[in-house]
Amino acid sequence: MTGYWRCLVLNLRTALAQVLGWPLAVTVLAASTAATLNGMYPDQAGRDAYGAAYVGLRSSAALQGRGYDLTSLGGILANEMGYLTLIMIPLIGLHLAIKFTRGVEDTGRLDILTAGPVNRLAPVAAGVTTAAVPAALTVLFTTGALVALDFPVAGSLLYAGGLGALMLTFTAIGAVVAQCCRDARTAYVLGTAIWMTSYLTRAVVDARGIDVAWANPESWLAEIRPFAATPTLWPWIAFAAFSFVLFIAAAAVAARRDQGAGLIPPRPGPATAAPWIKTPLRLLVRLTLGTGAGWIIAASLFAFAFGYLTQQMSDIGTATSADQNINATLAIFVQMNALLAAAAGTQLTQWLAAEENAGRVGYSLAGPTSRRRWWGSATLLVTAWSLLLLLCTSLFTGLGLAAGFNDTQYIGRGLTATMAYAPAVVLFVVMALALHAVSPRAVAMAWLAVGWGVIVCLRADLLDLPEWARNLSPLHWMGAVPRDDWNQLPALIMTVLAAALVVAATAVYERRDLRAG
Amino acid sequence: MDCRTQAVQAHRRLAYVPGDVALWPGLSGGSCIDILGRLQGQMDTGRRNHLIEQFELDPTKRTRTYSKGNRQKVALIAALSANTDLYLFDEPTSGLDPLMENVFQQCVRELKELGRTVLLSSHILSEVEALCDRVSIVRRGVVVREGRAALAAAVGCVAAADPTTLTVEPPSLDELFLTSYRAEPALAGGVRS
Repeated sequence: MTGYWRCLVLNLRTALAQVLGWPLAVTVLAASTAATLNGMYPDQAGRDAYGAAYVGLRSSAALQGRGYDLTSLGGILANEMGYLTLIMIPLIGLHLAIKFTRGVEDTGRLDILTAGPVNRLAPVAAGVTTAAVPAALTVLFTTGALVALDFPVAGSLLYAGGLGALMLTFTAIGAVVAQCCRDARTAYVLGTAIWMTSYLTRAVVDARGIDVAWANPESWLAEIRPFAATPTLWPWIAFAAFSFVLFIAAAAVAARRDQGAGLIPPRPGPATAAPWIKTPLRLLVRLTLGTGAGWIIAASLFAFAFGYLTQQMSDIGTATSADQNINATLAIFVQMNALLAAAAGTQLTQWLAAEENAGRVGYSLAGPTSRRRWWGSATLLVTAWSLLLLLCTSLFTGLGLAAGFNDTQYIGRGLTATMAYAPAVVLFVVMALALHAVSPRAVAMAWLAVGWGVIVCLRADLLDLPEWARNLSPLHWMGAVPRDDWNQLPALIMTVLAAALVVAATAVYERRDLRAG
Repeated sequence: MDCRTQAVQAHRRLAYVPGDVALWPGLSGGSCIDILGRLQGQMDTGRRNHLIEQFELDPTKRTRTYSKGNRQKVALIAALSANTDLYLFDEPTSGLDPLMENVFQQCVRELKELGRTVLLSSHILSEVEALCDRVSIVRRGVVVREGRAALAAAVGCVAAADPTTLTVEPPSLDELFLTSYRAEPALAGGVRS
């Protein structure tokens, strides 16, 4: 394929941070977890105790996948990492596949590349290869790190290989989706929807112990059983066959479609704008309607599923501690709701930044709209979407709880527990907006805060994080509602902090130059 | 009026066509025109519909499917259907075909008859020649020539750079050029008319 290697080298050179960054992030998480586990379970007795606690316990499988070989350190690692790997690995794979294929096409770069003496499909093939490189690097780095931490060589290789295979499978899904959708944004939405379906069905299947692990790539990771005496072979065949078929499908679509086109031709729109779009705020509402609604539907599904599974997951111990168990489990889920709301706000802020970079904000501000009005509208809109999402998830967590326990009294508990985190969510969102006020390029940094929030929420105890590190996540300031009581002082501090940030961000935004337009 | 502190008041009295038109990719062309018009605040709906017909724009298409010329038309229609004092056009006809350029010129002449001010920034000298009463030549951020005679100087500047060919619209600019520079055969030889 003429030009393939040139395109590949170009991709690797221009996106080295992505290609190296993601595998390194996965490796750091795996290695830090492995190191902590080494310290926590130094002898076989401790590992046996860990394994014994899990016998017959499907509860935690909803979040971390099925646990196997839990009396070995490797098995414990695979089990404990399940929390993050089942979320992180597929999303990285999807993101990279879309970014390096449809993302490039969206910018118009593909047009210039294919105008040169290269095969029509070379840039796409190179893009998919680039997206697959991080999967290979994940295998390499993680194996190295685990072996260095005295984990068995064969098991480490198989475990890291499983992570790579899962990432590659979702890279393949991303490649197909990117070829079929007309732009990267739609591809991201569809790809994330596919991942979520896969994740949630696996959660239900694992929590209920239904025997259909063969049907879902998200289940295959645990079924590899890397640290067993005789690891299973079939998940590898499943990964390979599934990815192969998807890559062939992506190639088939790519070979047949026109550049810039998708599978579904674009439908014509209305010849006039809807009469209610009159002000900047309403325009922003119109433009974010699809994204906002998508986030809310997805997050509500998530909230309902985990609300529903709470009953199974806290169904241990004596009757007196049952309520405590429920609250402890619920605390994780409502914090996840809050993090979803924060993520939605951050993504919408990133969209605002993209609007500015594309010159559309500048064009809108060429009319008689003041900077302050525009920024105020944007701040209001993003915060409102996040809070609306939080409200919907709180309701659906409550409904899920009510359905799981068959008791409508639980609806209120889901509502109050989730909404307790509203000040923290607002603070997250306002931080992203403040970064945007300084520069649209800085918004990406806001994802670090959200990512850290996820790690503190799910992995703080396991990673043995010191208190100051936990406090970097605003969610932690609230304590773990509903296990702990709602603490008014941090809520007040966060609200004041958010208000101050809004004022400062407005002042900065009014004074700086727009990046384009 | 200070453009920085009184931006809103200033912008209420002008309509703007950017050189690089960025539209919301998911919206239809018609929606974009309406939204831009409503943000500007003084859109004449009758004129909008008339202009869509004149420019032969399909307003139901999503803007991401538009060509550069069509995106330009959206911005032009939105600006031209506004009732304001000042119209700012930054390279407004890049990507337009000659017929549509003609429509644009017609629209500008109508504005002129209505007593409106049009500020046209353009590299297309024939367009400037056809439309402008006053011409300013800006070089490295400084106005180097101003007034009616500046146009002749502009042609001179281009010719001084010794282009291999210089296609200009006959007859006016061509004549102007030849009368000004006939004495220099090397330059005259570079003209294809």
